[in-house]
Amino acid sequence: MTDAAALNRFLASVEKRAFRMAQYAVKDVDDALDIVQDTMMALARRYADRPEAEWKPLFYRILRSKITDCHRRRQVRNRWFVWLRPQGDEEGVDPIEQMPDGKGADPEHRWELEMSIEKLSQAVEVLPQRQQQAFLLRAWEGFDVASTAKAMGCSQGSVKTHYSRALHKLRSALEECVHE
Amino acid sequence: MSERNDDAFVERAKALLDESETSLSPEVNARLVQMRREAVMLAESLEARGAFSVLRPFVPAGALTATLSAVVAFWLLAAAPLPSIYEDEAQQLAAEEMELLEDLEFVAWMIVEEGEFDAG
Repeated sequence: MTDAAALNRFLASVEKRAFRMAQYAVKDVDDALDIVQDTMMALARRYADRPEAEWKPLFYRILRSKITDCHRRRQVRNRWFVWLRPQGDEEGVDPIEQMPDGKGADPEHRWELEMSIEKLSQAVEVLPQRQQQAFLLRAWEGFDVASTAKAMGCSQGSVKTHYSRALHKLRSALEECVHE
Repeated sequence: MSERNDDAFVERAKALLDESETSLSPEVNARLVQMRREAVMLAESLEARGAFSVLRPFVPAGALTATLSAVVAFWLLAAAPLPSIYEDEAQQLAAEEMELLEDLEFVAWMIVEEGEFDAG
């Protein structure tokens, strides 16, 4: 039996984070939204009747698959249509430009926070895909190694390797940002 | 780098990522809400049609019927092959080779992206 209310609560709890993860991976707002939509629909269509505890790893596994599909379509499209692209055309939108004006009482603190977010976002975006996925699932979503391996479709050893390398690269890139 | 320093870094990075999550544009937020509603409606419609509960006991028989139907359909189709969209066999082979090449190139790209080459 599908618990619609539970499904709604679950999707509400992951939709924003999933969007950000997709955006980091594909660097485009519209593509990221399409990916999240496809993921939600796939979960609703195929796995809504599964126990609620299974939804999260399933959701992120589908998300990863949809991100890979997007990259694959781009690879094929870019090979054939790169010569049609206007000069200076840039895909994607800087996610920080999407942010509304700071809502804190301290504008300077808000600005510093936004700069930190921007630098972290940029550093995460340039990580290799697997390292990015491992870092976001382990550090942000809080998955343990086993759950991350399930979501990524790889071994636990691979998760540890990807995560370790991601941490190393991010710390090197952000040393001055995160040490206050 | 000590594990304690890593934990502090991860904690700070998580806080920044959480902050980025709360500051999405109104347009993006509205799209996400709409998508969620559509997904829940889809699940409810499938549930109403009994796709999960009523049909589930009959899935094995249904699967058998579907398999037999597919076998019969394939047997019938094999007797009357569909016209090819390619003018000749060479063109069809070229198209198939291109698809394989695209797959191989994509796999190679993924390997490089994932940084799985480890000479060490």
